[in-house]
Formats: sequence, structure tokens, C-alpha cells
Amino acid sequence: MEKILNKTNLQETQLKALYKKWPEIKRFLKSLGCTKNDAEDVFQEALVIYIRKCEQPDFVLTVEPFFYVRNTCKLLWYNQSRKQGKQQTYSLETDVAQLDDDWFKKETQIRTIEQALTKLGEQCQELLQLFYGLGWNMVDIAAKIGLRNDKVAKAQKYRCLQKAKELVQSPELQPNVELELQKP
Amino acid sequence: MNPEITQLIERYLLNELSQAERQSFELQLAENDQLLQELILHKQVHEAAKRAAQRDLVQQTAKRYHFRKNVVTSSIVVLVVATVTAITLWSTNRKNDLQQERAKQALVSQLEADKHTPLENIVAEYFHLNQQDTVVLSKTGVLLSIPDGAFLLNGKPYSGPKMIQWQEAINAADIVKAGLSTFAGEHLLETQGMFALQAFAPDGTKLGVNPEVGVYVQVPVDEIKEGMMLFEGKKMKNGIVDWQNPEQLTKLPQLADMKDLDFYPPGYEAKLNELKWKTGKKERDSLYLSFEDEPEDVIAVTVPNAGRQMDVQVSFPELIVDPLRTTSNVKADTAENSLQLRLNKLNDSLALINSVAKDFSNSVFETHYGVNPSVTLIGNNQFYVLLEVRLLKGYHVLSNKEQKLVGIDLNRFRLIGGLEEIDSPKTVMLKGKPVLGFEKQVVFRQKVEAYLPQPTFGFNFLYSVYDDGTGEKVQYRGNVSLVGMPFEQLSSAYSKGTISDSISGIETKEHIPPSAVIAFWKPKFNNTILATRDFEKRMKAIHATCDKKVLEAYTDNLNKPLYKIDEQVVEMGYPEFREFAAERVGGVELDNPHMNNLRQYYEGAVSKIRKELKKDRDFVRRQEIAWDNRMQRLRTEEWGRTARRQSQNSTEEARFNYEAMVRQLGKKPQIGFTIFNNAPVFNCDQFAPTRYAQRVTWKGSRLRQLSKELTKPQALPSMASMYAPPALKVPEYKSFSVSLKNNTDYGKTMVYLFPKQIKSFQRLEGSGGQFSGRLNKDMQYDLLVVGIAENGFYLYEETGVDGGQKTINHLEQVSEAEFNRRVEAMNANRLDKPMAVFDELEWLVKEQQNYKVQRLRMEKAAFRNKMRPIVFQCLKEQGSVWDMVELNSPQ
Repeated sequence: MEKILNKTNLQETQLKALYKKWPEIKRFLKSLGCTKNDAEDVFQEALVIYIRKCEQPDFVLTVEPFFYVRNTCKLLWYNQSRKQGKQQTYSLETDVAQLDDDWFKKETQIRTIEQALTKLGEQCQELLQLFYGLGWNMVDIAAKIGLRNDKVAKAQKYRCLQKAKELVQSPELQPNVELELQKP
Repeated sequence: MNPEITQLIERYLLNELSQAERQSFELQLAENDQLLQELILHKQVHEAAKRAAQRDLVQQTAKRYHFRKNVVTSSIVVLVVATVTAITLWSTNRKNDLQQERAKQALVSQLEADKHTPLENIVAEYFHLNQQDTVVLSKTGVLLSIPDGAFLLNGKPYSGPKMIQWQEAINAADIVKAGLSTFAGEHLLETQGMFALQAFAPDGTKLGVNPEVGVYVQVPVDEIKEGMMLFEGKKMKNGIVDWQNPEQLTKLPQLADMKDLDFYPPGYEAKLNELKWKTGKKERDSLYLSFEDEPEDVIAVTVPNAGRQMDVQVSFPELIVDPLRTTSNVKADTAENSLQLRLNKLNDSLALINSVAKDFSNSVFETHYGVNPSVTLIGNNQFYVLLEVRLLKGYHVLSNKEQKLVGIDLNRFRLIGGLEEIDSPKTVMLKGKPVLGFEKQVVFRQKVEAYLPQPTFGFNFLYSVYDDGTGEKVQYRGNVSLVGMPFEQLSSAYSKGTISDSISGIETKEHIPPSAVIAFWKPKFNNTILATRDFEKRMKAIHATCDKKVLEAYTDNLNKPLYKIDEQVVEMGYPEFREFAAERVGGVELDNPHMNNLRQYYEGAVSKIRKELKKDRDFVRRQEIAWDNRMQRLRTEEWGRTARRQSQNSTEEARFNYEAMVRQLGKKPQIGFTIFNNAPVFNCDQFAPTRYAQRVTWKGSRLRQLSKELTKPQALPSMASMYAPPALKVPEYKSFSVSLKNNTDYGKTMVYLFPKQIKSFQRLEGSGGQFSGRLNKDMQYDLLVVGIAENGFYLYEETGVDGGQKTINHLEQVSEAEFNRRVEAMNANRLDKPMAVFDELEWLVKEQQNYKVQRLRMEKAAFRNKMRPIVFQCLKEQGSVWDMVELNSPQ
């Protein structure tokens, strides 16, 4: 638990430092034709990716975190604008190659599922986040979200998990999941 | 999906499986595609949840970032703005300051260089002023007040920045240094300072003083010398300053807020503080107002001889004179110069007047008392008091109304009209000058109305006698009290609710009416000459004059400068106001409509206050009178009851005696005797026992008469036995007395005897703790001693007393209920139908309550006596009426 907290603290410090660069990123994204609202979403997504990448055991940062985040932003924005059909004549520069394409694809999929999970009830979301994201034990979770005890919390977690799985297996998400499933 | 499998997957993903389990699970995975898919799904959800948590973290960071950024941004804006403004202001100011300072310095040095100072060799002070009104203080403490527009530039009011040059030569050294003289033409002046003032515009143009506004200069001096004037200095050709055009000085009154000023008579607040009385202004105002009409109105018991114990004759119920029974108990004061005189009955309703005139002994008078008081009843509770003054030859009383009655309890009496002279005055010679007056004798008459039946009427009579030869005036004062006036026989004017205007009927000449003070002591009069420290000082002196007109001089002339009014007051005959006039305090500017409003308001306020006051006083008076009436009624009833009881008592006892004698003589009483006269005591000579049996037929009626005579208190038992037939044992009496120790602990003590054999009960006569009576030897008596004090009831009971002397040391304190119960019990412990004791009890309870009422009244009176000389400063000097003895406990 302590370790996790320390990890979270470390992440928080890093995030705080990176967020201070937001005005710079904003200007950068704007120069790429990104609106202000989109820019912050992109930036936050890039930060999520950065944290997650850092957690990968084999990840070695070769550039300053800021440049990594900036490149991620660029790539994300590139993907997004392509999807939105606002294709512009960007040439993918070499630094994009730094991104692990495979991992990135997988990450995109998880992101889709993550978005699907927002359809869950708030309690379920919080429960799953606390358990899988922050690694809290059931006793603490029960206290935090106002459940009688850890057994109730555990049962609730099972229900939430089942619901989440249903969501993920829903038809609209299916193509992506299938894509993923084909992989191994 | 099976929860167990889910759990297994979960444990697998969380790395919680043992090696064996893990291998087995992975084996299953390889075989079971469904399980694999489930695992992937689970893992995806797991990852997604984790990602959501991470996103949450990112978003929180974002939120914090934006929040802090906003705060920092906005505070920077404020700071920048502030800094910029400050710098701007500072730099502008600095620039201006520097410039101005330089300009000022230049002007000053220019003035100094040109020797542009009116007083030579005196260091000048410079004050640089902006356009606002300003007050500056010189180094020596001279105050200069320069209002806006005090100076003229080219004949027009100037209101820009200016510089004042100020010079002063106050002490001799400075005056000499400046080469100044103190001559006005050929007259030598006494100076309290010489001053020079010049004003300049910043460009050096000299400014003239605006005569409409002026500059106010206040110089501190050790004493105010009368006749100080302001002189204008003119430099003569020879360089000497001559002082010309003297002008009266006026000082500005020092304005203050009404609420901070004190207009009470001097010492009023101090005394109240000393007595720890309420501190609120409202209460103190109200108390002050309550004295409104009291200079003529002494509620308290007046004490004829200072230093004696308070004579509680009037107020204390124990000693209230019962006009029906105990007129002889009312003794005049035993002082040499007192007298007790019995006036003729003026008519049937006036039983007896027992009047005491005192302190009139003087060679001036024909008689040693000098004043002969008498009363004529008019009816309707009204009567005339006639005061006849007899004078020796060579002395006169002037017809100038110097005579008056004071010290009348206005709660009980009302004076109708003034003191009249019945005879018309003649021309008499006083110190060779003809004046209107009286010689030999003069009768004064005062009409009085009693609000309720009163046993006493007391007052002080003041009059002045002039010596023909020397013209010397001697003032006399007499304390007269008329006792024993059964006004209850008159129709009660009061009960018909006609308290007439007893307050407004009295002219208040000789004091400052509190209402006149309170009426202006209001915020409305702020910013008038009355709301000044200067008037506060004068008010103390006004109180000392006791002349309402002095106060009116100020309140009627709000537009005049104070010193003018001071002078006016000096002319009214108060030289002490000269000192104030010398201060030459000016007025407060008031526009006329405002002033007229205030004057009207003031007049209205005085009468309104008086009206309200009268209402309150009448209310209190009514209550007191109602209480007194009730008390009086109960006492009257008690007298009647006592009389009835006594008669019943003697009837019953006579019957008892008769029956006792009849029993001795057998069934048919056969004896009788003749009583030849009405004498209370039978003369044994007329009733020789030997002849009795032979000559007199003893009959029942005779025996009855004997027994009746026996019950008379004066009958001597031994005598009775002498004329009774030898065979008859005459009922005997023995004397009985009760002596109560600590009698003074109780306001009232009474001794009751409850005989077992007869219905009625007896109350023993006595006073001062000594009671005596007789007991019939054939009866059994229960003794009851009752003490009543303000704090409750006290009892002593004893059953079966027989004659002799009884001393009671202690009475037991009991509650009212217990008291009633025990008295009732003792009364009931007799015959079948004892005489009701209820009325007696009711009366006793009322008497007990009355103690408190009377004590509170006396305390109030004593308190007012203490305050009165302070409220009415002049009355104090008049002497003995006001020399009240402090209220002690009755003993």
C-alpha cells in the first residue's frame, strides 16, 4: 500500500511538473491546427499514456518527459484529425517512430474500453478504479464508498465486473475487441 | 461466467496463485479458448479501470493547475495595478511636493529677506495650508482657526492654498525685543499678548482678511482679565506701534453634544453615585423631574428639633392618633417654647384641634409663641388655616407676601390659592419710610383641601418681621401641626375623583424647575449655545441662583452671544455672572427659522413634561391615598369592633357573675339592694352589711346590677365584697399584667385574653410592652400575645393563666397562615360559639402589610430628603425645614 502511495505521489509530482508545460503544449497543438478544447483533451490523454508507458517494465525514456509528451500529443492529434477526416498534409516525422506502434494500438483499445466503463454507475467506476487502478484492499474500499464491509464490497465488485464485461462485449465495441482478440 | 472462474482469473492476474495453481491454470488456458477469452476480457476491464484511475489523476492535476494558475494570475494583476498606481501617485506627489516645498521656501525666504514681518525681531512661524478649513496650533499653543474663505484676494474670497505667517509676543522679553509698547494713544495697556498674522497666496500675493468670516484666534491665558480688548496695531512714523480701534473679544463657545453635557444641579450625580443609585440617564432624569414641585412639598415627617430622634407621629401606624379615644396621648413637644392649646370647637364636625407652634419665642412678640393657629372647616374636605401673628410695638409685618406655608404633605393636602392677608394693610413707617404693612396683629389665611380624612395637618410657617427703627428684617419659622381632625366626617371629595391640578397651582418661583432643564437637554438643542461646555459651566451657576428667570434668559435668547446674556443676568442682580461675561464667549450661528422652531419646541416640551409628570404623580398619589383610606377604614372598623367587643364582654361577664351568685343563693334569688348614685364605686357607708339583710329585699334585678357593676374595670373587688350580703360570695377579680421584653422588636404588640366561659375575648390595654387588666377568679383564660413586625407575625400562647405579673421574653415567629390557624384554634378552644376572630385577624394582617408600605414610604422620603437640597440649591440655606434627620430605624 505504501509503495503504491509512493508511486502515486511520484506520478503526481511528475504530472504537476508536466502540466506546467501546458501553455507550451497548447501553443504547439494550436500550431498544428488543434482547437483549445481538443488540445487539453489531447494533452491529458498524452499524460495518461506517459504514466502508463512509465509503468511498462521495459520502457526506457530516451528523451525528456516533456518531449515525449509533446510527441505523443502530436501523434494523438494526428490520429484524431485523421479519424475526423480533417486530414492535413502532415508528414510523420521520425520522432513518431519512437512510439511503440503495437503498444499504442493496444492502448487505443483499452482507451475505448475505458470510455465504455463511464457508462457504469459512479459507485462501480470508483470501486473498479480503486481496486484495479490504485490497488486498494476491499476493507478500505468499503469504507471509502460507503459499503457495510469488505464482503459486501467484494460482492459489489463482482457485479460491477460482470457489468463491465457486458459493456465491453456489447456490439458497438465488438469490432475493436475482436481485433484485439485476433492478435494473440 | 462462473464466479469461481472469475476469481481464479482475478487471482491469476493479481499474481496471487501458487506456482502449482498457476501452471495448472495456464494449462487450462491453453486448452480452453473460452477461458482465454474470458481472461483477455477480464484483463481489458482491469486495464481500463486502471487507466480510468490514471486519467482521474491527470484530471485532478489539471484542476489543481488551473486553480493555482487563476489565483496567481489575478493576484499579479492586482499587484501590478497597485504598484503602478502607487508609483504614479508617489512620483506625482513627490514632484508636487518638491515643487511646492521649493516655492514655499522661496516665499518664506523672500519674506524674511524683505523683513516682511510686522513684529520686528520676533521669529515668525509659517503654516502652509490647502484650501480646506484648517485649525493650526502655534508653538506656544495659540489656536488659529482658518475657515474656508477667511481671506480675500483682490476683494474676492480666496480659497486656494495659502501660507500663514504668525508672530506672537506674549512675554515681556519678546515685547521689548520687538520694540513694542503697550500704549494706546496716551493710555497704558495691560497686555496678554501681541500677535501678527499675515497670509499669502503661493505666488507671494498678500491676502486680506475677510471681515465676513475672519480668523479665529484663541490664546491660552492664566487668568481671564476683565475688559480685555483687541487692539489694532498701527505703525507710527517714528516706528513705534500704537494700538488703536479697540474691539471686544469674543471667544467661540465650545460646542459639545448634549449627551456629553451635564446640566444637573452640582453634586446631583455625585450624590446618586455615593448612594449607589441607578446610573442610567433616563432614570436620573426621571428622578430629577420627580422633584418638580417639591420645594413646597415636604412629604417626609418634619422634625421639629434637629437632633432628636425622628418623631414618627405622622407616619408610623402605632402612634397614629386616634381622634376618638386618645387625644390626650398627643403631647406637644416638651420643648420650652412649645405650647399645647385647645381651640374652641368651630363647628360640630371638628372635634378638637391640638396645635403646636414652635420656635416663635422672641421678644418681638407679645406672647411667647407669637403665632396663634386655628382652623375653620368649610366642608367638602376643605378648611381654612388661620394664622394670627401678634406683634409688639415697633415691629411690622409687611404686606409683601414674604409669608408662606411650606412643608405641607402634598400627597395628602392641596393648597387652594395662596396665603391671604385677611386684614387690609395700612401704611406704616419703616425706617422713616412709609410702606404697606401691619402692626399689632395680622391674620393670614390659607385654604386647604385634604385628599382624604387625615388625623394631622402639619406645616411650616415662614414670615418676616421688620424692626421699625433699624429696618432690620428677621425671618421666623414655625412648625405647626394640627392634630385630631376627623375629616372622615366630611364628604370625601377625593373618592369622587377630583384631584384637581395640585401641581400646576403652585408657582415655582424659587428654584429651577427640573422640567425646564430636561426640556432643552435634548439632541434637538445640539449646535445651540446650550449645547456648549460654556453653558454647562453657567448652568451650575444658574442652579445656584435658583432663579428660573436666569435660565430663561439663556433659553429665550439662543441667537445671542453668551456674553451678552451673561451681562443681562448680571443686571438681573447676579454679580457672580460677571466672571462669565468677562470670558466673552460668543454665540452659535443659528438661522432664525431654526431658532424659532427650537424656542417653540422648548416651550411645548416644558409643558408636556409637566403634564406627564403630573399624571404620574397623581397616579402614585391616588394609590397611596387608596391604601391609606383602606387602612383608615379598617382602623375605624377596629375601633367599632373593640367597642362592641368590650360591651359584649362586660355583658357576658356580668351575666356570668350573676349566674355564679345565683347558684350560691339557690334557685330563687331573694336578695336585693339599692344603688343610690351612679358612682362607679359603691360606698360602703351607705350599705352597712348589718342593715342589708333586714332592709333590702334581694331581688334578681338588684343582683344583676351588682354583677354588672362588678365588671366595670374601676370596681374594686374588696369594696364589692363589703356591701354584698355576708352569705354571698361575690365574684372576685385579680389584677393581671403582662410585660413583654424586647417590645421594640415589633411594630405593634397586643395582648388578648380568651375566657373559656364566655363568648367574647378581651384585648388588654397597654403600651410600651406593659399591658394590664383584671381576671375574673371564676373564669379560665387563655393568653395570646401577638407581635407584628414588617417581616411577619410573632406569637406567644399560654393556656390557663391566672393573675399576677407575667413576663414574656420571647415571641415565636410564625407564618401568616400559621398565625391565623393558631389564633383561630385558641378562639375555638372555648365555648360552642365563640365570638368570631376573623375580622380581627384581617385587620392585624393589614396592619402588618402596612408596616412595609409605611417603611418604603419613609425610605423614599428619606432618600428624597437627601437629594432635595442638591436639586434645589437655595432651599438648603433656608434652614431647619430641610434639616431632616436621617431616617433611622424607628428605635
